Amino acid sequence: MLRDITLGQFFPGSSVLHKTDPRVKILLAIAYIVAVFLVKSPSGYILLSAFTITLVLISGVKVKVVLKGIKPLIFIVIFTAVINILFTKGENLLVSWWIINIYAEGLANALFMSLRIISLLVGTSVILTYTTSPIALTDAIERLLSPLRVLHIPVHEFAMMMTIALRFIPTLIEETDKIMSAQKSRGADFQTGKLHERVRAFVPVLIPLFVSAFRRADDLAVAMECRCYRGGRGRTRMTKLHLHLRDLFAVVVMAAFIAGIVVLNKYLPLNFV
Amino acid sequence: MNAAQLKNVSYIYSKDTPFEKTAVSGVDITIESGLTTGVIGHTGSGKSTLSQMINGLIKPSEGEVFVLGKNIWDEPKKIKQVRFRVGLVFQYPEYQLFEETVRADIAFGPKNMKLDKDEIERRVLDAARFVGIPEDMLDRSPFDLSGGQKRRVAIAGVIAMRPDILILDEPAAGLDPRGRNEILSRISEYKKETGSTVVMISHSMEDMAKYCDKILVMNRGKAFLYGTPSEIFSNAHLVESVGLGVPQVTRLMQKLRDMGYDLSPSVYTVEDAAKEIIRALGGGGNAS
Repeated sequence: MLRDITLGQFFPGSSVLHKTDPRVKILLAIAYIVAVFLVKSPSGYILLSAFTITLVLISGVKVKVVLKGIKPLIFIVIFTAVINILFTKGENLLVSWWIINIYAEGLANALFMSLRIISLLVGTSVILTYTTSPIALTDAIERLLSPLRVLHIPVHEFAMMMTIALRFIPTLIEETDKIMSAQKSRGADFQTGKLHERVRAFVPVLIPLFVSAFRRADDLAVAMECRCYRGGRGRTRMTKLHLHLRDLFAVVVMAAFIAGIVVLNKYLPLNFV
Repeated sequence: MNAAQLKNVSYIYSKDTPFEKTAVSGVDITIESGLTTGVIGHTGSGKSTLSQMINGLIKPSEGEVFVLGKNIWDEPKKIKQVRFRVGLVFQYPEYQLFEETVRADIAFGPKNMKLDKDEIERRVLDAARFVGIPEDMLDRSPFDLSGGQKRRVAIAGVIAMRPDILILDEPAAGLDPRGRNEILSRISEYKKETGSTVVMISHSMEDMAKYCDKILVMNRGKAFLYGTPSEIFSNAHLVESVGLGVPQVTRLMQKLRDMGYDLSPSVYTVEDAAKEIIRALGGGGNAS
């Protein structure tokens, strides 16, 4: 059961999006988020949807996976949509019943807000989390934040912490699984009983887990020291990031997309409804 | 009487996903009451999965598991009772200790069985004696003990439930030779005294030969060979064909026989080998 949790959500592949430099992807994801909030016209939303769908298709990530990723958001989407439908006041009254007035503007708003939330999630995960390995991601974050070193912020140490944490998540999941099985075979019960009983039932799992996490941390620290690790200064890397033509291309595409949205906002601001 | 019976069981991990992996396929064996059965095989041969199926931690994808004549999955809600009857000691069990004192940790299983206080205390003392933990150690923190002592405490925690079948997954892994012998002989004494059934998973043919009445050789999820040690080791070529070796001393005896000495082919412990060689050389230690 614990094994079922997917982590980092990274799906290995060889698409253009996978190959794009992770630093560029982080910046593009930020640009994409800005673009989503820039959209003001219906035509802009059409462009946004088309662009996002294209990204999904290019990435080679299965549509099923993407839809599964949206699932946890469904509640928020519905909630936002309902609020928008009920509380937007406009000129075109569609339904009026008791204290409920539904305007066409409300429906339009609900639709666009939902589109905005969904494309925000789908777009950023396709650009970043689905197509970038966690290690590449932390590496890129370290590089992008490295100017902060001037301010004596330990950027390398933060990145190393993230890398180690990511590395140990699967290990700890496996360990938790094992300890749970061991305690279960000694009669521990995690599934039945009152809430406080069930919480207490996790003590026999958590204590060994903490003990082993500290032990592992200790071992790892010693192992790193044995190999003369002493922080970021002067450290060379195995994989060096180089910018390629395709990265420039990706930047140009994103720029064109944002320009397109701005232009549509200005020249095709078709009124809602 | 059969202690446990596996009827054509299979187990597939992560079924219906790209990570699907068959751990055990079509195993059909009977574990006899009162015997020590050894299970040997390479990493990933399905030994651990098999042991967790007998204990009801894993439900087989196919097939049925009988413990003491009862299909354990007939009443899924009572599976906890099966776990009390089939005690499973995991690999490196010392990593599951969590209580403040050794006494409390050994008592965890019996407490879950909802036994009364006196009975729990009695079982804790009994279990501690079986694994050789002195009484004054019972009130210490399990985290202050040495690795070998921790391992014994963890095993005592399972023994204290007085299971009918005791399964141990690599009980001697990671211990020095003295710790190995100590643990293994404690287990065999425990078996002798209580008459319970023991299933022991191991990598070492030497240990198997010394402590087990029957041996199951697993290979790629299948029961490859199953029989008494002499049956298994007389098929040395079969055992070697799946990348496992017969005990070193058996190989030595084979070589001596090839050189023309008149030695019995079914010798697989050092003690027996010594006796056999003395016999062959004329006995009594006054052979020239």
